[in-house]
Amino acid sequence: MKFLTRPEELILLAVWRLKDKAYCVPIKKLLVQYTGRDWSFGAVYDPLDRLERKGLLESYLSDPTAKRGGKRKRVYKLTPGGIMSLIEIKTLTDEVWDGIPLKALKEEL
Amino acid sequence: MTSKKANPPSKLAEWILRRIYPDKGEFTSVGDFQEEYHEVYQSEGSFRARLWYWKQIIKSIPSFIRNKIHWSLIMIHNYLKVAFRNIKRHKGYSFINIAGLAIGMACTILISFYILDEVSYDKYHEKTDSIYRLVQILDPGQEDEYETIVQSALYAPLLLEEIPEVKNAARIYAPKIWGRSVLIDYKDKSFYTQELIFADASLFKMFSFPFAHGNPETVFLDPQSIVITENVAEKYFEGEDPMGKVITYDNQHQFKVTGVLKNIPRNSHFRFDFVVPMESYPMVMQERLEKWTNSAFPTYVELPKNYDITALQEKIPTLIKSHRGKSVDTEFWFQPLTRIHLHSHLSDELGTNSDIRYVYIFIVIALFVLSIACMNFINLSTARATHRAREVGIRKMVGANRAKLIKQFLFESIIICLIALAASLFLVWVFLPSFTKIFNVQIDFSFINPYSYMAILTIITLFTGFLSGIFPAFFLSSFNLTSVLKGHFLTGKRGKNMLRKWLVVAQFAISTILVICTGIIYDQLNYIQKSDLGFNKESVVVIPTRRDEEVISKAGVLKTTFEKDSGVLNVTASSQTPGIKMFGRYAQTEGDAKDKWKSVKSLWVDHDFIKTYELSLLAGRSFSKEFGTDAEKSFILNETAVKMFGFSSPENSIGKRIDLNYGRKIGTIIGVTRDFNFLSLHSKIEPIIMHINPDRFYYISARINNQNVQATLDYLERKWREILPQRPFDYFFLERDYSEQYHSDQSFGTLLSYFSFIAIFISCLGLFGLISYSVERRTKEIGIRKVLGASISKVFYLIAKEFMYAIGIAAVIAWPAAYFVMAKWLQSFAYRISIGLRAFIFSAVLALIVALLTVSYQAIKAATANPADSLRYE
Repeated sequence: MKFLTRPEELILLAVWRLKDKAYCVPIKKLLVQYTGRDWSFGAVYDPLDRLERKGLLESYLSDPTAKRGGKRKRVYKLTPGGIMSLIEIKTLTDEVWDGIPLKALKEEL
Repeated sequence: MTSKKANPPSKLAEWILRRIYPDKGEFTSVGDFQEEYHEVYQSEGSFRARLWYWKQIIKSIPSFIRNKIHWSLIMIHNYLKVAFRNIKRHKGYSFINIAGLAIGMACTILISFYILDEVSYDKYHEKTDSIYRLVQILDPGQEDEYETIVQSALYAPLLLEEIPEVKNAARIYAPKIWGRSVLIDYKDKSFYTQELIFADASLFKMFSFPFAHGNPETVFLDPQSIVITENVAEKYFEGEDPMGKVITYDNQHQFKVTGVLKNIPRNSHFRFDFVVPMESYPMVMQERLEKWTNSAFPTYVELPKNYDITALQEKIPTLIKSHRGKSVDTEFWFQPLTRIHLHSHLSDELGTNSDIRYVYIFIVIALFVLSIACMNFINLSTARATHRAREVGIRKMVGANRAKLIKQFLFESIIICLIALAASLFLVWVFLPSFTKIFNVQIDFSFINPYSYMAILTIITLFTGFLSGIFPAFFLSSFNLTSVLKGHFLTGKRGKNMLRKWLVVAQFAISTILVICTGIIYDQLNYIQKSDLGFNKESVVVIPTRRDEEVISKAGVLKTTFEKDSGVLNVTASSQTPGIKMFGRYAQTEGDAKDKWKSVKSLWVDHDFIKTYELSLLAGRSFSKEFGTDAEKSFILNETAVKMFGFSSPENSIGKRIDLNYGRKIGTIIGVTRDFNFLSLHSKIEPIIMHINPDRFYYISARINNQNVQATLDYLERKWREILPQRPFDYFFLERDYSEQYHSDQSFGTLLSYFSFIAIFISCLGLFGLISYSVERRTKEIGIRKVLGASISKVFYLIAKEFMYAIGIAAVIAWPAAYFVMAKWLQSFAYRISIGLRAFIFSAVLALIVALLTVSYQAIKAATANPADSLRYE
């Protein structure tokens, strides 16, 4: 499997959660909510572009709205490859974390 | 919350956003920003929202940049793919392009290595920028103005004492300048050397000559010490430790080795193998150190960095006057150390310096060859523009703008240049040894800063890529989208065709200039070889006596012994042999009331000089032993001297009396010889006065039989060893030494002949490419012409003519340019050919023939092709 960077991984998840509302603004909001820190637009666009080139995401343009100054939205969708990728990540994470209780880690602090 | 109407965000901020993230022209980012801006505006107000907008942009910039690089990499990947595809698809044209560029670049690289080596001279000294050499101009502004690097030994201490800015000063005395050698002995090893200098201890403080053994501060504490180089240490001591060993100087003085220097790097304007402290100079020639008038010492001073030397220069004459008590008609200037190797051609130099003009000539030739290669590229890529027209159309259609296309084509030409660079490095690797040998230049990579040649390679590649790519890039990207895709693209607009023709003209003009110059140089060199010098320079062996008194005193014995061998025809001793400068003296006819001293060259000879060198007498007789007075009181003049003294004819001068050197020698003219070119044909024949003086026998010349040369040489050596067992024997052939004078002319000729060949070759490569293309394009036209009855010769003419015109025009342009250059070059010869038509016509004919041969393959192929084949599909 190809490893993804952490922001890429988070964005992939966010896109999956948001379903058909997955364009930049809500993705960014979700990321802020997950991580608790501010994300710049650039930090979202760049991984989005890259995921799309890797074939994990695909995008289409919505109709323009007045609220957006007459600009379209670029809405993202997971490709089968993207879903596979999420499955792999989940499996891997579960496997490597298997049998490690959070409590044990905290005790070592 | 009621929705307030949001003020639009700053126009500038939005414009920036559009620039940095266009999202394929959709500007979704602007929408995204707008959306969130709205929310912030609602909750926090206009000011905060604007601030937020700006902050977001600034924060996003790093990611945007990363994104941008990412995408441009993808574009580059695509450019690369297309470039390689094109190279592969059109193998022939790519080969022509790359081969031409590779040859051009290889020439440029070789030449730039040579130049880097040349400019590296004396730069390895730590204080290189603050060392200057003192130069004096004697009789400034007058006809016999004379600039020399040798100074009185008193100047250096004077400067050091009186001028506080002078941190160090070093004098050198080099017997080499005066053509003298010294004999150095250690045990049974005995060699003459010219590479010995006397020097002040400060030499090692100023110059960074690296020591292998010994401490530069203390090596000269004892005047009886000597510092040698590793070369010499190996030669004399063969692995023994040289430190502390005592060697003998000219069989008289003993010096102890106190230091060993690493060999003096070749990129030094003066080199030496032995250094003796100036303090022991008195042992050799006492009185010279104390004389204001005895200029014999090259003098170097160390001044502060960026010091204004002009003010100092003007001070020196008055300074000298105040100490010497007498004013002198002398000016001084300081020559920066770094300029000596390429710019200094003064009297009494410590070695042969190079010439900045050679560097310039090399640069011009490199640019010529490289530009010819670039022209090939331009010609071929514009000629074949149709092949790329569709691609340009498609790219424009999917959104490429002109700048992007220009970028793409430039990138492509740089790719081709990179491939050419790889090929040229291979060529350089192969030809470097022959380059250094043919042009007699030396390239030492250890002298060249690796960064500077990496930089040179990069610059050459980018420069070539840019030069050859920029025009095609503009041209190809200018295509109109609709007309290209509709197929209305015109094959070759008139203007572009003209440009191609002019480039071919330029290529052949450059080549023709080089050919003409080569031709004229060879004519002149040939003239030099064939011209009657007035003496016979063949089969003369010259044995220098090295001004060694012991050897000179045995000259008579040597002569009579040498003459006994059957292989030796004649032997003579003289102060100089042809090719070596004579001493100037002043002379006048005796009894001339007014001072009419005229400058003549004095040549001391023995009785057999005229016979041995086969000079022809115009009047009178040669020196003869039958006349006892000949040895003391007789002169033989050359024709020029006769004219200078104002005698009406050679016959009339016989019996007249001459006063030489202010009454030192007064004698009668007994003979007059026909003029002979004692020096090279660069200089005019000077008035020469020949007379006998056995003290001045610096050279022994033997004319030998051409058979059994080696046996004769063995005989000479054997006899020498019998008579002078303590002195090494060496000799040279006059002919070789004499032709050394034309060495630089010859290398100039060789240089041009090679590069003109390369220039023609590259031009023809390009021409071949153009013709092939033009034939390919006109296949159908030719087919129709043939069907309509055109003959093979007509078709051939049709194809060949346009380029033949170009070559004709090239010749017309090249002629005056070459004439101008060569007239200038020939001026450096006092005796020269007049520039004839021959070289010009020859060059034009050569260019035509070569071009015709290049063209004919394709032209004949096209002319003889069966029209049925070319028209089949129509």
